[in-house]
Amino acid sequence: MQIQSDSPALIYVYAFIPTEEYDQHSWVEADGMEPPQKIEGLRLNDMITAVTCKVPEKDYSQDILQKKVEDMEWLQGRAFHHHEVMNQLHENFTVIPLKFGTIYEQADHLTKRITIDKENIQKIFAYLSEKEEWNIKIYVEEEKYIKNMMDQEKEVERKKEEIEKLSPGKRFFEKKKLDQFAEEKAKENIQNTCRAIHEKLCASSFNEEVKKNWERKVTGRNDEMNWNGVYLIKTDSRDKFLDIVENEQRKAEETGAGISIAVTGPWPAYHFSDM
Amino acid sequence: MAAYQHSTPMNNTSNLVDVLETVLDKGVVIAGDIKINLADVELLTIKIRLLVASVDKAKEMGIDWWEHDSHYSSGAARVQEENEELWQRIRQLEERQGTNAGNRGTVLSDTNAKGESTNE
Repeated sequence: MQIQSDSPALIYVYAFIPTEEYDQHSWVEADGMEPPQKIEGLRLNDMITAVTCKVPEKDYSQDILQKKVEDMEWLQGRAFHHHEVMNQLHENFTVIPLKFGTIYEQADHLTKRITIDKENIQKIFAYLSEKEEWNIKIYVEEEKYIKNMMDQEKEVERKKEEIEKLSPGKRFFEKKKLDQFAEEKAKENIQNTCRAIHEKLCASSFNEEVKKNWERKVTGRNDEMNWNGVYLIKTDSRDKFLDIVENEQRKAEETGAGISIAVTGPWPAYHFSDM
Repeated sequence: MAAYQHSTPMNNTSNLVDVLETVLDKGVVIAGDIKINLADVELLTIKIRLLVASVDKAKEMGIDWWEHDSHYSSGAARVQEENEELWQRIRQLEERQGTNAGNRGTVLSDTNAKGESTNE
């Protein structure tokens, strides 16, 4: 233990792992949230081990920490560290990831807290064993999509011809109506395409969650997010799941309609660990 | 195999969003002894993305003082040497013209002021 007696420490908790697995695997020493403190396994009982690190009270007491999480540079570094630790754990253990910023003053408090949820945590370990999470986001360049659709939809083609025959005044309004129709039709088609891909992925998943689409100011991309789904899959069916994704990616590219499918993973089961 | 977020560098903005939206918003919530309020995750993500984007953008625009500043890089020593040589040359030219190097102090303090403000 490297904490000095004049520097009181708090306990940052990253995750829970099964004690049985903790005993079976060798523990690789790694830096904690605030080096030189290291990541440690804290055996809470014969079933649950908490993955923790010591953090200095002078930086992590409630008031100070509240100020720190408002500093984006600080938060970014710690959030990524939290995630990196989770990824490393996930390679060897069944992991229940805790939300960023779970901190205890004493190990006893954590042990007491866990006693209440012991059976529940056990159930989640069983549920998450040999599973992983994948995230699929579908982006669409809407202008390109609409153009592509206008070129292919027969109904649009027919309406365009009708408009050409109208007087200039009427033509203006009818064209506006057609644009509106195209936009609505495109939205409907995009949703149908996304849902069809989702259904295919669901067939190879254990569980799934459809998330909110993020705005462009969040993603920083030029195209629009139209689907944001997370899928819990069995680790041994990963290839099958990714084959479906790759097949859909290929199809999207071939149609040239401005659809792109982004896949990230394997993630620890952040979305499927609720107690 | 498809692209994995593991191997993606941290400053890739789309990966950044993925990680932040998950780590700051998801995971099991158990009541700790220390309680913090995280701002809305969407807002946090935008703020952090802007922070990262500004570093990338600055590099794109050739603003990379931290790679040359003596506090940050050994390459700065070379720049400093060049600087000295140039000042030497200016002094020689000024002496030849019979002028003095009175402006040097002003120019130097300007440079310093700029360096300090960028450092913040």
